[in-house]
Order: sequence, then C-alpha cells, then structure tokens
Amino acid sequence: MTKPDLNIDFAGVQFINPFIIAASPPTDSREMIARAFEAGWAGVVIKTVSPVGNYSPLVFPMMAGWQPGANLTALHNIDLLSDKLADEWMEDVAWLKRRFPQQRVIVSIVGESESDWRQLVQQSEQAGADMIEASISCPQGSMVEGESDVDGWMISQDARLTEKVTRWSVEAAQHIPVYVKITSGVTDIRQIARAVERGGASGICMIDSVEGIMGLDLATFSPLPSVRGYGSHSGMTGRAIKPIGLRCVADVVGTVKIPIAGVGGIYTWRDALEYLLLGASALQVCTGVMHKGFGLIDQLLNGMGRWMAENGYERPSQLVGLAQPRIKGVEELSPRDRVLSRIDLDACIHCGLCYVACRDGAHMAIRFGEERIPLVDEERCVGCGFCASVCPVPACIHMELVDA
Amino acid sequence: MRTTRSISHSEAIAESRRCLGCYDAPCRQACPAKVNIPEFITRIREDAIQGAGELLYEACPLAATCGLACPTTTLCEGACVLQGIGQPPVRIGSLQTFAAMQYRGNDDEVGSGNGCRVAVVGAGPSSLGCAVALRRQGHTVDVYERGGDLGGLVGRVIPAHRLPQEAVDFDLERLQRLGITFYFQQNIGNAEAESLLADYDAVFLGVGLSGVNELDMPGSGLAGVISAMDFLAQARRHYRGEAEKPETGRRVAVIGGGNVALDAAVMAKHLGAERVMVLYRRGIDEMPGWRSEYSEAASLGVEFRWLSVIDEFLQAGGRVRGVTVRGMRYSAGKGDGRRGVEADPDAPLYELPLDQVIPALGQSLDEGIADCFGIERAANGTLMTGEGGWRTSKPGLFAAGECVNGGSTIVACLAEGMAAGRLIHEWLFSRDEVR
Ligand SMILES: Cc1cc2nc3c(=O)[nH]c(=O)nc-3n(C[C@H](O)[C@H](O)[C@H](O)COP(=O)(O)OP(=O)(O)OC[C@H]3O[C@@H](n4cnc5c(N)ncnc54)[C@H](O)[C@@H]3O)c2cc1C
Ligand SMILES: Cc1cc2nc3c(=O)[nH]c(=O)nc-3n(C[C@H](O)[C@H](O)[C@H](O)COP(=O)(O)O)c2cc1C
Ligand code: SF4
Repeated sequence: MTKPDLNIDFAGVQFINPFIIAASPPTDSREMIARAFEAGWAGVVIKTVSPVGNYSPLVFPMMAGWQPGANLTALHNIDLLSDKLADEWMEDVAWLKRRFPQQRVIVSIVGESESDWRQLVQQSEQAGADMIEASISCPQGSMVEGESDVDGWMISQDARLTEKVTRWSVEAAQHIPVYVKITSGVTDIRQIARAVERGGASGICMIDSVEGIMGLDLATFSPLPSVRGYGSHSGMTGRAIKPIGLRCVADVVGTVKIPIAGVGGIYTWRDALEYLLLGASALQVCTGVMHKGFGLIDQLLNGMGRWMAENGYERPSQLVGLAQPRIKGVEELSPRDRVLSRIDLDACIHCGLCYVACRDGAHMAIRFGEERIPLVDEERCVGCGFCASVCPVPACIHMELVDA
Repeated sequence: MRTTRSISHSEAIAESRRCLGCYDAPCRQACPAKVNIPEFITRIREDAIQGAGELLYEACPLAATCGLACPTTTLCEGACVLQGIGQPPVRIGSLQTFAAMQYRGNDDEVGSGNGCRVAVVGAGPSSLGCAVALRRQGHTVDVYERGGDLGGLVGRVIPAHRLPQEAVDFDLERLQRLGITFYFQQNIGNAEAESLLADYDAVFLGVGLSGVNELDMPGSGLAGVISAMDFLAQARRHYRGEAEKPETGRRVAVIGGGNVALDAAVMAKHLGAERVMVLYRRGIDEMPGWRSEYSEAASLGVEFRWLSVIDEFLQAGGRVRGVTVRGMRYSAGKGDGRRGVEADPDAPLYELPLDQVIPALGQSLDEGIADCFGIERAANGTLMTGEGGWRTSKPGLFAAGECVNGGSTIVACLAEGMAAGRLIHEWLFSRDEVR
C-alpha cells in the first residue's frame, strides 16, 4: 500500500491537503492561524473583513451550544465580521505568507458597495493573499448600497445581486482566483450557483451557517444566546448541519462546472470523505476545529489517508463526485426488495428501545416479552429501519435484504 | 456529610445523560418500591428537579434514605443494561438522593377522611409505609412506637458514614407533616394489644425483629462482649452527639457473616481498632452480607476467617482476653438446598488473643408480640401472613416488614408496608360495603 498523496487543487491553487479552516474565530488572529499552520492545516480563510468593520458592535455572549458537551449537536452564533479592519489585516496576510509559504491564505471579504468589493480584492491581492472568498451568506445579513427589490437579506439569496457582486470581485482581481461563499437558505440553490458561475467566479464555497433560533431562555423568553434578555436569529453550525451541506453540494455539482469547497459539520474523516464523494474538491472546517482544537487535523488526515490507501485511491481528486451516480429520485429506487430487521441477540442489552420505537413509530413488528428478548415478526416487519436508528448498541441491528 | 454516593450537580447532570430510558425498565422492576427510575432521571436531566422529587416520594416515602442505604448493586443498579456494553451502571442511588434532598414540594395529597381509624405498631420503614398509604386514602392513623424516634432501625443502627443523619431527617421531617399522629415510648404489650384491637378499625404490626440472637455459650456475658446491634446503636448515638464513643478494643473479633457483622467490623475500624477479624462459620460464597459491603470492609483492612467458630472464651478477671477458634468443614446439608457445616477434626484449635468480641448472629422476632395479639407464627419464627399477604390469622390485624419477611432492606419493608396499607384500605372499604 503506497501512502496516498493528499494534495489537492482548488480553482487552480495547490493545497498540501484538502483541509482549510473556514472563516471564523480560529482565523481571526495571526497567532492562531500560525498555530493552525503548524498543526498541519493546508489553508485558512481569514475571518471576513470589510473596509469599515462591523456595522454594529459585537454583542456577548455570542454563542450557545445546542446539547452542549463532547457531542455538541450544534453551535449557534450571532457573531459578525472580524473586528479588525481590512487595512490592519493586510500586514498579517503578508506576515503569514512569509512565514508559511507552503500554506494558503485566503481572505474572506464583504463590502457594502461596488467600490468596497473592488478595493478589498485589490488590497488582499497586494498583501499576498492566495485567493479571495467573497462572503455573501452571513445570516446576520449583508446588502449592497442603492439596491432595492432584492430577495431575502443576504446577497446570496438574490441571484441577480449574487452575480453582480461576484463580477465586481472577479474583475478586481489581477492574478488570483475569486470564489463565492453562499447560503443554504434558498428555495433552489442551483439558481444561486449558476449566478456565481455567470459572474465569473473560479469556485463556490458552501454552506455558511444555517439561520435558526436555537431555543429560548424560559426566564425571559429571549432567544439563545441571550444578550440581556433579548436574542436574535442565529447561525447554526456544526454536526447538525452536515446533512444540509452535503445535500447542497450534491445539488450544485451537476449544475455548474466550477469547483466546490464543501463546508458544514465536518468533524471526522468520514464526514470529509462524504463531502468529497458528493463532489466537493476542497474542504473547510469551522465548528469542529473550534470545538476540538487545531489537533483535529491529525484524525482527519490519518483517517482519510488510511481509508484511501485501503481502498486503492491515490489522490483526493479521484474521489470527487464518485457518489453522484448513487443519488436518484426516491421514485427511481427499487421497490421490489424485501428487507427485514435482524437483531443480534448476543449483542442485545435488552433495553427495549427498539420495541417501543417499532410499536409506536413503525409497524408493531417487534415482540418483547417478560424475558426482554426482542423478536422481529417477519410477517409484520417492512424493514423500515427505524429500530436500527434507535438501538444504543453499535452494530446490533441491521437491515437485511432477503429473497422476495 | 459526604458518603461514597454523594454526587455534585454537574456529575448528576452528566450521569443522568447516561440513562437509556429502557422500556419497562429492568432497574424499575428490580426496585421493591417500583420507583419510576427512567422518568425521575429524565426529570433531573431536563431541569425539572422538583418533578423528580415528587415522583420519588410518591413511590418511596424514604427516598433520600434509600438512595444512600439501598443495596443498589443487587437492586436497581444491578439490573442496569449498560453493563451489557461494558459500562458501569447509572448511579441510580446517588441520583435518587440528589433529587430527593432538593424536593421542596408540598406534603402528599391527603384524601378526604372517611372515618376509619387505624393503629400502627412500630415506627420503622414498614409502619411508615403503611401509615403513608393509609393517610393518602384519608384514614386517621395513630402510630405507637416503643422507642423515642421515627424510622426504626434506620436512624438507630445503620452506620452514619453510609447513611448520614441529614438524609434520614429530611425524609422523616416530611413524614411528620402528613397528619399522622405519633405516640412515642409506647411499648405495646398484652393490655395495649387488646385495647388497640377494640378501639381501632384495623391494626398493623410493623415491629421488625427486635430480639437479638445471643451467643449461647459460657463466657458470652464477659466484659468486652457486646452485641453488634448495641455496639452500632451506641456508635450511631455517638455520631449524633448523644452518647459517648462506644468502648472499642485494639483487637476485635466480630462473629457472623451478615451485613450487621460487616457494619460492626467497619465501625470498629472507624473507631480505632487496630485489628478487626470477622469469624464466620461458612465460606465467602455463602456469606449473606452484600458483596459491596464485604469489599469495603476488606479494603479497610478487616480480616476474614472463613469456616471458623468460637470454641471457648478465654478470660482474665471477668474480661474477655481471647477465644479459641475451631475450624469447620462442609457436610451434606439438611435438604434445604444449603450445604451443612460441621467441626473439621483435622483443623487444629488455636488461640486468638482479643480484647473485644462482637457477636452479630442475627435478629429474631420479639417472642411476646405474637402472643399479645393471639396470632400464629411461621416455622421460621416470624409472624405468619396468609392469602393476599399482610393479613394475619386474626381479621383486622395486618403485618409486614421484617417481622414477616425475616430480614431484608429498608426499601423492601417500606414497599411491603405501603402494599399492606393499600390492602387495609380495601379491606376497610369492603367491610363497610358488607355492613
Ligand atoms: C446494622 C444494620 C444495618 C442495616 N443496613 C441496611 C442498609 O444499609 N440498607 C437497608 O436497606 N437496610 C439495612 N438494614 C435493614 C433495615 O434496617 C431493616 O430492613 C428495616 O429497618 C426493617 O424495617 P421494619 O419496619 O420491618 O422494622 P424496624 O426498622 O426494626 O422497626 C420496627 C420498629 O418497631 C418498634 N417496636 C418493636 N416492637 C414494638 C412494640 N411491641 N411496641 C411498639 N413498638 C415496637 C421498634 O422500636 C422499631 O422502631 C440494616 C439493619 C441493621 C441491623
Ligand atoms: C462563531 C462563528 C463565526 C463565523 N464567522 C464567519 C464569517 O465571519 N464569515 C463567514 O463566511 N463565515 C463565518 N462562519 C461560518 C463558518 O465559516 C462555516 O461556514 C460554518 O461554521 C459551517 O461550518 P462548520 O459546520 O464546520 O462550522 C462563522 C461560524 C461561526 C461558528
Ligand atoms: S425495520 Fe421497521 S418494521 Fe421492521 S422491526 Fe425495525 S422498526 Fe419495526
């Protein structure tokens, strides 16, 4: 088994591996970025900058965890842009490029006017940035001066505006690629992806955080995170949004020709492989890194490298999109197969969770008597798979294809 | 006071997340009081601690006590299915006391009085369970207790390092707000028994086992020989600041293999004995004491001499100075499923120098009580109850707890008492129907 080479190409730029830290607090400080590079990350997207800084002051607390702890389901934030101005950042970009010539520095930008967008691109390029990420997907909203009659409150919810802003940025760049980060919060993400492509961008990054309300503080009725008794829509990130990110990537891949950077809920090498297989050619990680630290890269590289070696792949690019032919409409899936639940009674701990689930949530197909042994009634079991979804014992219940 | 079962708020929340919430949960099945364990743990986890307390006290009026004192490894925790995937069981006992002691809820809902009056003899767990069940139905309940406090053996002999007084008091104070009338220093003898039967619609006996089995051999009356029950009772009073520290020897032998023997041995260690040896006539596998208690005693340095009995007391000036020990061996049993033991002629007798001997040979029914009430006793000496349980041979007279089961646990006696209380209610009801 030869060790796979994890190099990738994203929009013409070479990366030593597919893992890039997304625009977020870990990339909001030169010192933290330096540590990320030392840990082995291939690139960073500097926390989104603008010429004028935040349109309103940051508020605290700005984050809250949904089901907090080691298995944190999702993080919700009401963060805005980097509190440092674009001008201040440019020195750091130059410094990072000198210190870490192997690694890639991408600047995430947002402006309020055409001149903002153009100026930010030029400034970043002069400072030595490798790429530009135009961030038009912040759930706290971003708009363009003088524009009315737009859909939504993020630029990437409006196809016309998306194309326009993309074009400004692309035109302003001399040599470096510009790609655009978009939101999942639209009716048809393919429309937005096409607008990005029409605007001339070299790639697409998705998804940004998913707009939501995490929950309420029942003492004040304030959304969480609560700032003196009031809250706001917040951006959901982390594990819970992976399925949304995967779906968006899968939808956009066949629609446009430009490459995709996949982001949303990557914590493990398996998550990473899933994004690649569905069509992403670069990967970004935010909450996983915030939660587990820059050392997360070790597990990502090790797991991906091993899996590729074991399965005979030499480069991540070979994986990109391999899962696409496997995605069909539900109506195209084979309806004739007979599937049955198989419960490994040696592994079973007799908790009865499958019994309740099937009794009240599926087809009343599991019997569970005094002896607490779950027995599948093959006449009733339709093989829906719900029992396996609630079993607390790994690999205890699986669905088996049986001869019809 | 902290015990090995104390748990902090953050530990409790983390622990509550481990519960799988099993269907028809095995832990609940294993609980004599049928506490709805997955539900109370859910309430801890979901920040509804008062709801957890409400559920606990409904099923188990000594919830704080039981969480600390129950043999959980053989009851609820022993049944936890997490052990099937190599994980320790959820710390149910710890969570129970954690939730119970935060309960600020109002006293139990008391049904409207229906005129019936019930006398309860004894104020131990079985009696308290019975009294609560009857009060919930609105009956008038008068409790007659020989001693000066509530709880029977609970607050009297169980070592404070396992069961601190705060937990016991928490439960007992709640019980005192239920409108039950308690009469203390009331020893129910012949005359009293007669008037109770005459004055009340029903009488319940929860008198426990107050007879202490004695070592029936010369020398058992020597200075330096004290029964485990007396020793533990004095220790408990000492920890409550009500008595001197019990006299404790340097070299102590405890005689017996039950939990009382183990408690006495551990207590002697706590009180400063240098060497504590437990002499038990059978082997480790037949020891009735709980494994968890045995492990704790062994870890504190208590030594165990299996298949050993006292042959003779050695004395000096009326004080015990040692014993001679005889080795035993197994023999064919008496057909009760248990092997027999007999003196092993090959094992040499040896002398064991000691300055204190603590027999812990079990408790038995106070002989008088059956006669006072004119009821029958079972072959094993306990009160006999008949069909449906809890009914004695005399109509209107009920019994439960250790005086019937011959020795068990707080939670079992409490649950039996509650069941008896419900039965008494039904009996009163049907009796009135007939009238
Ligand atoms: C040393 C020791 C440690 C123990 N440790 C534990 C433990 O950790 N966990 C556990 O679950 N269980 C433990 N037990 C067992 C537990 O204490 C008993 O199972 C329980 O107390 C029995 O309850 P009861 O109501 O049947 O009787 P008791 O608790 O014995 O109560 C009977 C009451 O009746 C009163 N009484 C008796 N005769 C009369 C009369 N004629 N008139 C008026 N009143 C009378 C007595 O004074 C007493 O208060 C322990 C027991 C001992 C001895
Ligand atoms: C606290 C916080 C701040 C963020 N700030 C930005 C930002 O300034 N610009 C941006 O484009 N995305 C921002 N994001 C979104 C992330 O870059 C990323 O798209 C999102 O977190 C999904 O990836 P994840 O599931 O790996 O976290 C932020 C996310 C978090 C949690
Ligand atoms: S597969 Fe569905 S129907 Fe079959 S046992 Fe499982 S839950 Fe029930």
